[in-house]
Amino acid sequence: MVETLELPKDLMYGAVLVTVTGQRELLIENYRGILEYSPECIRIQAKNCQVCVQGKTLLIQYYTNEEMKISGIIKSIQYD
Amino acid sequence: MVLSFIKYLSGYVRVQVTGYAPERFLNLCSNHDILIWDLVHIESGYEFFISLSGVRELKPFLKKTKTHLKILKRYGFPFVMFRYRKRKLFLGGIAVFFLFLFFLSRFIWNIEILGNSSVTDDNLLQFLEAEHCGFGVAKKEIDCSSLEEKIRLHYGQIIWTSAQISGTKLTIQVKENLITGEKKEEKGKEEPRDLVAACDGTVLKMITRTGTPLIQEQAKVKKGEVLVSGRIDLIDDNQEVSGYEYCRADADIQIQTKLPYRDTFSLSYEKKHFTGNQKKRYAVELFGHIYPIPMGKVTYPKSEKTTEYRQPRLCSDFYLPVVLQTDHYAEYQTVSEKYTKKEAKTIAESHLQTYFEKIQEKNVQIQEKNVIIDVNDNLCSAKGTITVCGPLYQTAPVAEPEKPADERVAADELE
Repeated sequence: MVETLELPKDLMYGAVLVTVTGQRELLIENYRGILEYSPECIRIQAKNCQVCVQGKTLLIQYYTNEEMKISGIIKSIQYD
Repeated sequence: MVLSFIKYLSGYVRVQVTGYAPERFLNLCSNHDILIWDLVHIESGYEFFISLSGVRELKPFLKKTKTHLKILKRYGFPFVMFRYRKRKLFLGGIAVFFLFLFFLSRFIWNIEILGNSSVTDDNLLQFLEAEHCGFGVAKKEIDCSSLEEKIRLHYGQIIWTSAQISGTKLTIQVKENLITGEKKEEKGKEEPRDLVAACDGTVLKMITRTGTPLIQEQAKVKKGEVLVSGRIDLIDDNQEVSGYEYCRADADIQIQTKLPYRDTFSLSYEKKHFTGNQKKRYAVELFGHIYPIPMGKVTYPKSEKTTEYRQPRLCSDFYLPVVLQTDHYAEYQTVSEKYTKKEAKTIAESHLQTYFEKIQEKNVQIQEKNVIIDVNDNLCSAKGTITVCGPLYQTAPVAEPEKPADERVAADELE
């Protein structure tokens, strides 16, 4: 249905959008909230899954209802 | 940049959140569209920046999540306003300052002149002053294009001008026609002139370029005698003078002459001996009136006074109508002293040397020196003659010649 109508998937499924710029910047959209935050790990709750960003000196540059920007040295992005 | 300015205007705070569920508190903030930035994890909770309007909405969330909020630092204009709420005059002062700045920015405070070489800056500034386009004139009163035209009309040698106002600065750019000056000079040369001897002497060498030479080499001449005439005789077929042509005489002439030298001075003289006592007095000159600052009288019987004038200025050329005057008084006593024979001789020699240098400045060579320096008990005298050789001639207007005979007859007939 979604594919035949060519609707945006993030809207229809409520999928999380993760935009990574190099190793130092990450932008997350379509999320519910933060579950855990430490300089080594940020765990974010999305509609269907959890995203866990691991790295060093992680910092949330800004945090709004729509999007969140994370900077620092990113080592891994894991979906649970 | 714009964003940080907006943040500053609306005010923001650095806060620390600690307690049971700080993450839930953050999620609640984001769900209610409260902006949070620079979120950092600390041991007991989180630290972040939050807008002032956001802080006011936080109370129910704190209760819900059982967290505590601590304001660490306040930033922004609302807090500055709050701090200075009792200093209304200070704020008024700031407002007056900006108003004043705005008012003053409507006038010309700096004038820059570029591209002029024969017309001096001062000359142009005076002209601008006379045209009411000088310092302190309102910008709207200056019409740049008419000013450009006025400059061009007033100064013949200026062929192109540009007047431009940027900020409070008036820039005048000019281009000068340097060729006209030369032409004028050439015209001046056309006026007929003789070359006459500037002093008595002997002509050693003479090469005539234009004009009629009246004397020969090795001839003795007297001061004022015509060496080369600016009048050229026109001779017809009968070898008779039919008329005259005038020109500006030009020649290379070397005249040898003897200059007498005499220099006498007394051996005793009065020397100023400075005691080292000094005093300073100040005065202010305002609109042509001098107002001394009362600091007591200078009681030195003999003193040397040096006055220093200082005129404060804005930018590079705009002098304020105030002159600061500083008088330096240095006390001295006069002591009678006498030169020794050696000193006197040295002084006489230095006088002679200065005299030589003065002569040589005029392109005159010194061929022979015959000066004897004599020092007796009270006087030192240097006497003698100096033989010099050089272009010792000057120009003079051509003496009105007699009209040729036939021309005179023709003139009589007309009458």
